[in-house]
Amino acid sequence: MRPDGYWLGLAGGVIVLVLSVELVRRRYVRGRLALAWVVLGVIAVVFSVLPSLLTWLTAALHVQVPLNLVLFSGVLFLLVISMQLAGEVGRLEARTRRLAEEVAILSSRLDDGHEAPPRATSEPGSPPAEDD
Amino acid sequence: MHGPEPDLVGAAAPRRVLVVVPALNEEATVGSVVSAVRATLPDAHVFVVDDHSADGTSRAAAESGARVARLPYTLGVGGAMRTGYRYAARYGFDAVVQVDADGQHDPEHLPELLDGLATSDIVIGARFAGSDPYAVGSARRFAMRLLAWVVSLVVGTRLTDVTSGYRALGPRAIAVFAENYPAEYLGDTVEALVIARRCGLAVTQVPVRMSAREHGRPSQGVLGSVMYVSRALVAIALGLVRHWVVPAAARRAS
Repeated sequence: MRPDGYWLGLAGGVIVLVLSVELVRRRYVRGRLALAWVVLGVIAVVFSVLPSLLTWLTAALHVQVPLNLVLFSGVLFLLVISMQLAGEVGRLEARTRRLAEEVAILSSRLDDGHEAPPRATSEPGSPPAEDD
Repeated sequence: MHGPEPDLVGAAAPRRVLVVVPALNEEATVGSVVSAVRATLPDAHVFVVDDHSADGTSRAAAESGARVARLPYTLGVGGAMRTGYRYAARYGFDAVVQVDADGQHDPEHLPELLDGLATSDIVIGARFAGSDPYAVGSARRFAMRLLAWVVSLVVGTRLTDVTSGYRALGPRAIAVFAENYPAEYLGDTVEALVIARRCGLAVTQVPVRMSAREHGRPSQGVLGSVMYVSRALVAIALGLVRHWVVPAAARRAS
């Protein structure tokens, strides 16, 4: 017989799998992160189809309550994902900062080509002569 | 004008000098700062980095004869300065001097700062080093002293004012800071010195006078000072822990 909540668990697993495959398919997540999500989806489905597998794993790892194992691994997974995201945000920030600095430098060189910047008010001070 | 004789400067000072002025909403003062710098160092290029000001800072700076780079959004002093260092590295300047746009840094000291580059990679224009009327609250003064002591230990040179933004940098320091220059609070002053140390740069200081800020005031209370020191210690720790790339141009030729 099916244990209580079997169909609910299975539905949850399938939803996770479908969502993660969709995330990857639409190229919203890439690389290792994409792999992590798909693996998570597969694991979710496997465990909801075979709840006895969870019971067996819980005993093998000397964990008392199966649900604790699920919660523990879930929290661990989320922690790793959020660290990965934090790293990604930091890297993007460094890149946009570099771009902003480059844009500023380029714009300062572009203004040079004209006597006055296109929208500046009249009679600007002459830009400093370039002494190469 | 109180500018020194050009050939006297030319002998000791590096030849191509870029004066970087980071400016955020300093329309009222940036023009006079640029003019004063140009009067003191007629051969120097003045590069104002407008940190996306909401007022007419860019126009005021351009009208006073500076080259202006406007950032597409506000990055903070560190971002503005690294723009200046990258510019200096790319176009082959031998020295960069940072001068704040609020008029706090007297351009009179520019030649002394540049002269110091003959023996050092970084020369800090330091308050509290000589006779100096710069007034800060006692808690704040203690905080700055404590910080100076800690950074002196880390850097290995006796420094009295590690948060001064009035600095001159030689070619090796420019190469290092064009790559590594934190944008966080206190990163551009305190952490930058730690980075300099970790990349093997020599740091020294010369005494300067600074006028009180024309507007804006530093936090003076005890709580504010405690916060200030804590954040500075975080900046020092980050400087010690982070990985810094030493560019080839900054490695000492043996």
